[in-house]
Amino acid sequence: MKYVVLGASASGINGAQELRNLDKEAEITLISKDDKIYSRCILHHYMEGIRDVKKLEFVEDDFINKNNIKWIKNAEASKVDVQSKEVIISTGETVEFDKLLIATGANTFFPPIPNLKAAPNAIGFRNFDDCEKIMEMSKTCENIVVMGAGLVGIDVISGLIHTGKNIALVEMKDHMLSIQLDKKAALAYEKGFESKGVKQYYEKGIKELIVDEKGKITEISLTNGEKIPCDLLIVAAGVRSNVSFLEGSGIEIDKFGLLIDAFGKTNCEDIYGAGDVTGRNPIWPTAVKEGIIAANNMAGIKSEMTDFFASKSTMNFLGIPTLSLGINEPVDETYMVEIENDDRGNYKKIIHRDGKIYGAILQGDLSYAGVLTQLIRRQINISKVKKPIFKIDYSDFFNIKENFEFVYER
Amino acid sequence: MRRIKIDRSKCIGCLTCVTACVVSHESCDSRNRVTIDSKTKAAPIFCRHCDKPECVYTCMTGAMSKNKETGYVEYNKERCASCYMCIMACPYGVLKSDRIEYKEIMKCNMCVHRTEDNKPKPMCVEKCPMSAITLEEV
Amino acid sequence: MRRSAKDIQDLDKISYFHVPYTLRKEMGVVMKKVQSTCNYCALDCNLDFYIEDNKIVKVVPTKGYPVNNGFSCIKGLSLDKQQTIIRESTLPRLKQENGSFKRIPWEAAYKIVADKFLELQQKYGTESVAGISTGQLTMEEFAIFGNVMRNHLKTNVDGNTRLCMSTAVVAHKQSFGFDAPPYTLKDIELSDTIILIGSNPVVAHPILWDRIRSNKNKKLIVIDPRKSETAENADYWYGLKGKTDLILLYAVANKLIEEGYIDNEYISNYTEGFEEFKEFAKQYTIEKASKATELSEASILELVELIHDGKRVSFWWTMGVNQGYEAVRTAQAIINLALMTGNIGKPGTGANSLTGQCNAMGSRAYSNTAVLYGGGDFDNMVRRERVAEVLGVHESDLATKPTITYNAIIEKIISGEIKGLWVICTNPRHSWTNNKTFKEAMKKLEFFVVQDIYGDTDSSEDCHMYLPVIPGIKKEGTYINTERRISAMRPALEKSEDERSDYEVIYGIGKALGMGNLLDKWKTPRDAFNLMKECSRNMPCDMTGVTYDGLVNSKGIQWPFREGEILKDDQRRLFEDNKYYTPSKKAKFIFEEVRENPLPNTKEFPYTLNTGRGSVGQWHTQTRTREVEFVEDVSVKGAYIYINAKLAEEIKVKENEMIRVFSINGNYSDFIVKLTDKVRYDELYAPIHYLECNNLTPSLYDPYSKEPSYKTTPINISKIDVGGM
Repeated sequence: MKYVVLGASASGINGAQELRNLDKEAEITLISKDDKIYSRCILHHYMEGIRDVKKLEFVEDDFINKNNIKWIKNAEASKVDVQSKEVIISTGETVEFDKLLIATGANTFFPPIPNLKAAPNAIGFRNFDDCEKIMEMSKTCENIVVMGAGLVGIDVISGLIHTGKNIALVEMKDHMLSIQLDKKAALAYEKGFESKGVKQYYEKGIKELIVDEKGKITEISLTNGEKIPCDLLIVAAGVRSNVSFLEGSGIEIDKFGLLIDAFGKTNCEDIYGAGDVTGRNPIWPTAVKEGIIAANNMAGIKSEMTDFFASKSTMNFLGIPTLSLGINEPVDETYMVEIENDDRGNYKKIIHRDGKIYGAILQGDLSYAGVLTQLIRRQINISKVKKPIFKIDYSDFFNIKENFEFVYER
Repeated sequence: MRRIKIDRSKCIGCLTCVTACVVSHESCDSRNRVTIDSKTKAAPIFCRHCDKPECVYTCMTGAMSKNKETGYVEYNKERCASCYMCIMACPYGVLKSDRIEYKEIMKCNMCVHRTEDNKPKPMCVEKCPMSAITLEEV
Repeated sequence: MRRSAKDIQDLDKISYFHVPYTLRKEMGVVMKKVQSTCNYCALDCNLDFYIEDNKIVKVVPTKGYPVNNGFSCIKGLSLDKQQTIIRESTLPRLKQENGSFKRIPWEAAYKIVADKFLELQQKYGTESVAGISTGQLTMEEFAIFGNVMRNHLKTNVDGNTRLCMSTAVVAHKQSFGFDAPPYTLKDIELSDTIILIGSNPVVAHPILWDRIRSNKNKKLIVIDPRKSETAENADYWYGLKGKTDLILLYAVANKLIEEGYIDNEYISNYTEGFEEFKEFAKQYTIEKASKATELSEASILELVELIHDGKRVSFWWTMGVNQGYEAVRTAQAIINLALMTGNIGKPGTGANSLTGQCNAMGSRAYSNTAVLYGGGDFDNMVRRERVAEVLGVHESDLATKPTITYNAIIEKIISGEIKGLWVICTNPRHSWTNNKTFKEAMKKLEFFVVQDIYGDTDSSEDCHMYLPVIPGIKKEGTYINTERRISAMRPALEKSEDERSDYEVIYGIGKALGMGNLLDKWKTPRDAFNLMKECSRNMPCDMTGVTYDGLVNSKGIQWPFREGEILKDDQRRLFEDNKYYTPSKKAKFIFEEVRENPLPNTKEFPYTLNTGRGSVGQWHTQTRTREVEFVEDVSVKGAYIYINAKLAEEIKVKENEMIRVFSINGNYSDFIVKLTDKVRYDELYAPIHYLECNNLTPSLYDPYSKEPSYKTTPINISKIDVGGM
């Protein structure tokens, strides 16, 4: 059996590993643009200098050899021939497959601002080489501007503060991390970054880039007319799935990305997909699970994805932990909001209605918060729980399986 | 593999298991907890070293990993980036970070550090006065 | 990724836990370790506190300490949680005329208390002010309190030790000639027949339970009306009817004598009064005991055989015995059994009273309340002169008589004789028996002073003068545990400028009372220790071989330890030479007819209320343990009561519903119902941690120890209907 996996990040690596776990004999070929295995989630720690390349790895040492995987690095898939079951890659090679896992992830989206794509000093923050470029350029530049105050944008900022350069953040919404956090939770970070010298521009976007004769950005004009100096622009305004190589292949994609079912199958026999390439639920645990599930189905073991709850995230900036689940503001007045606050930086907020929780934000002490994730995901009715809502724990849902594992009952 | 079997009916909430956990690791915090439910019945909430560990799936540094031989979910604090995804992912709310620096995840390791050959020797099981928790083969 | 200290630019980016201790030292992060004594229960475990930046970063039970060898219970482990959730102002709080509160400086507070006390004494008499102390302060604090209140003000001070240990104290004194618990905890590991009477170590003394478990060659016998957690783990459980232990013990004694299961040599050589006891015991037949206790004759005979079969039989008792209306005689009945079978003064034996609080022993010997410092009665002139000499005063400067007891103090407040009260480190509104009587007393007091860590306890929340004091983790002093082990408490944390220790407060008020150079020898806890040490010279509790500093980082030293002696064994017992402290040097058989229950069940109050600990984590009235999250997570928030499932069914009440319990004392309380088959059909069990519990207990005391009878109160019960009462 010949398995081919495209992409060596969360989905691809976990998929390949699972394939090897299930089939000791099969040929597994991994094709990736990446030439090393690294976790994109902690790339900013490398930029900050608190982690080296080796520590970016998220698998065991010598993973490739231990799992007997043939790895073609620095190679992009340029075409998939569904009929002949071949992948043509950028080196010119053709790789045959019996089953294929597409886990090519996503890449930085450059908004259609004139001169942006061409500017040599406008860089995304998705891949290792983005990171290296920024690190190199930040040595000589003075004014770094980050476009987009989402998780990636804030990762970048926290990874660059140590350089001592002028850093500015431009964001369309009225506070940072607006998908995950409400204004109060965001404020803790905003204040913290402000005290570290980061200038923040909210409810503003980039209208125009002023470039020099080489196309390099020298200044940015914001939507309110304000002009800010910039000699390095980091674009963190979203990502787009890497599916361009699938055009015309017959494998179905839509405007978000690759289309798969709950078993990881695409519309084509023997071709599977997993992770950010689908453009949906783009979080690490989903990528990992989809990779594992696809691998199981590829190896003939029926496995189904059941966890579609993806509005969940945690973050740790400036030593302040925050956790966000579900919605971060009540939808209307029918939703109740419980808040707990203290003078030690602990902020807790739960949004609920009719005994079900729809959203939660915890900042500070996140101890034991995992139960909240399940209460929201499974829409468990907590009316019978006679505890203060912030003290709810697993005891009221306690159930043990035969093998002594815990379980939530239907 | 051997897992800690929990017999809730025997638990008296004495917290000897929590004490044992702290002492075994000479830690500032515990890796297990006991709470009472809405009916005031005690519930020992311990890491199950799940067959399908959510904490492992969600860990993006490889700090949480499933040991194929022993079956235990191991935590490597050198790899950990303190991102807290695992705390959010554990469906039973077992995990937390240490209470001093909020950097290390309080993760049960079946007290394999107490033996020469890495076999499990949980101190909580040893010390429970009511035999509410026992080590059993699954 | 190793870094050297030089590489590290930005300290706040580094996780200290990834950096080895030696490197942290290089970086200037200094971690201190302080070994100190836990101040909860009487085992006095030792713990190592690791401190960084005046913050306790971890607590590790001291390895190698004889009591707990590297383990502890959750309470000791969580001592660092003190004052992390409830943060009290550091200044005294005065209640003003209009009822509002004002924070005042310490010197002002000392003066107000002193002036007020003197004023009351002027107006109403010397004994119109009194003190209620505790078993949880340091020995030095007991001593100085006893000096200020008893020697200087010549008034009365009793402690909450009256509620816990006074029975054992009186029993020891009468039987042995001195208040001397004869065992070392190691005896429970060496005993082959452990008999626990009215004692539940799984919950009350968890480390002792750990040591019992490590004894693989034993039979464990539990005598308790309730199938307690310990009883569940026992080899034999005798679930007798509440308060029939005395008749059981006499019957067992009688049978042992009949069968000749006694050590005649021991009896004749080292005891007195046996012949009288033998005659007396004849009336207590197995039949009689069986009827009273509702145990089968066979099981009582089985108990007799077990005692006989054992080569090293040890008897251990706690509150089930001490808190009764004929408690002293019950404790002595246990002592009698040990004496007659020669099971005392040898490894693994003894009639061993387990103390409740961390320093009840220190209070008993050094509070100057029931006996002079280091022992000796107040009318013993030789002893008076000796103590006066040590203190540097004249014999007439010392208190002339023992204190009146706790119950008498409360009664006299209610009757109007006592107008001023100074309560230290205890919560009588909750813990006193028939606690509404304390509420009544509080209202009657003209001046009520409470000295406590917390200003919001049932007793301190509304007092006239609240004196905030620091917890044990900031104090220094000496503790003496249940096996006479003396150990050091040293501060893990520094206190702030405005914080005061109990010692400092008592000293300050002493000064304000005009004691002047009477306090010269009492300036610091170390001074007080040395005075007490000297007072103990040549007394049974002699600790002249112990030094204040020598106790630090040690294994503790049991008394007696005389100057010049060499410590050969960390775990020593008394009476190995079979010499007691009585004038004849022989132990006494003390006994008395089993009385009619002075507060029996009636038709109106047909059931019986038993009380005791509900959990390991909750200490008494929860003022301290409420700050421990581990404990709060697992504790029931409202008062609850255990009721036999059959009885519950009869009155149609289900688990977690409410019942109202009416006491013969005239009050009632509501409880959450917990069904169980571990209590007798007509006996209910309510944990002491809730105010509702002692709302129901009676004003009934042992005639000799004056310890309250907490364990059997006649009650009635009725279901509370939801939605209307």
